[in-house]
Amino acid sequence: MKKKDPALWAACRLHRILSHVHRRTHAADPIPGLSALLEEQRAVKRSWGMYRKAQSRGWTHCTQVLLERLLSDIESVHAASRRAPSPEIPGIPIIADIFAEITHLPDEFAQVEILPKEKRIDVITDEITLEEVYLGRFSIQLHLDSLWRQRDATAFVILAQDPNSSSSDSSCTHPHVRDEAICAGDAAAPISHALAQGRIGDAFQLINRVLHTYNGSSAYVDLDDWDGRSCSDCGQITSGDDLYLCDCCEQDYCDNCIRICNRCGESICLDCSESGEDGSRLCPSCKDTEDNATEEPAVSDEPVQEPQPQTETTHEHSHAPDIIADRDELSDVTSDGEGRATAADVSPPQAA
Amino acid sequence: MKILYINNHGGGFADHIEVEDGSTVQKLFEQKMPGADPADYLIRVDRLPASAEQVLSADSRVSVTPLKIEGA
Repeated sequence: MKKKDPALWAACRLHRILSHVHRRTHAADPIPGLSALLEEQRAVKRSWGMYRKAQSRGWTHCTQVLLERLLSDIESVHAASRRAPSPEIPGIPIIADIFAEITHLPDEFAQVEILPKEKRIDVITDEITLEEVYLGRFSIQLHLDSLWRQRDATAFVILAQDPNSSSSDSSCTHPHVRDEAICAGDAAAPISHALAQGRIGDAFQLINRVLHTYNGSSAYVDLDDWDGRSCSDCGQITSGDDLYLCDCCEQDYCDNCIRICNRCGESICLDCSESGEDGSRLCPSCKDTEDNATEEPAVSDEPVQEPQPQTETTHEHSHAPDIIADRDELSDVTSDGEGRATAADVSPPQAA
Repeated sequence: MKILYINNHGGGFADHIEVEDGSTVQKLFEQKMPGADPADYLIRVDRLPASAEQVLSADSRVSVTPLKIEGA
């Protein structure tokens, strides 16, 4: 063994931390449950003294009552002794066990690095893809000095190696990682126990398994919305496929916040639209045209309904002109007799 | 004989338990995790991957870790 073996250094440091914490925790009550057991034993002694006194004085009824109490107290002693932990349960792990945990880390992870200067143990996970969303590899870093304060998942820092952050929250590199901290969920208790018992390999593996699991009901960002963007009007996170581009301001809007100009069929947001003379919404260019025209086409003020599925071609944004080919086509649709297209004649923009 | 059994499912406790001589990993798993599928767990004996037929020896260290653990 080398003099400055990093694994041995890490094992010694972990042992020092865990021993100190163990002494501090158990100084007042070295065996959890011992004080309760002693209290029950005192109760037995008390009941036994009373019983003997009653018996010597010939108090037959009292003797019977105290005998029942004595039996009950003895049962309480048995119960309290069962609650006391078995001495076989490991308290402070020995250095050799911690050392073995650390030296076996390469069996679980392709890359393991022990950094004495930074007081850290780092491992790299394999590439992680959840629900077809590629999240890449993660570096799981155990900061040894954090264990002085807390022996739980907060001692770990999770760094994305090939970050594919959520587009709506760049601090989320994983559905259960935000600001490089993991929300361990079901693994929280096992991680705490593993760290307290010096089972470093188990603690790293538990973090690794959480990173390989998606819990859609409790994620910082749902994977369904991972590549989503917020609507420029209401702010709702929406998949890029379901966003519409305003042809005027070129911002993204959800289907509730986009409108179409019936006259030209362009997608247009509420801010960019203008009211025609009949109160309907028009895009700025059609509004100009209306102002100069004698014949004024009507437009729809209806919000865009459910987007129609598009099966063949996908685009980053959909535009009304993709659906309504051109003005000539629009003019062919049913009119109200004055050349104005009715609202029902104009199809909503489709999501790509 | 006694072995150290570490269950990283749920509470994540480590206990010294008594098992029959000649017990295999599969027998211990069926006894400790009734109804569970071994394919859903990482099972290690003395920190190394173990086969179902592997016979346990005194002071073996057996750990069972779920493959899927839900974060929050």
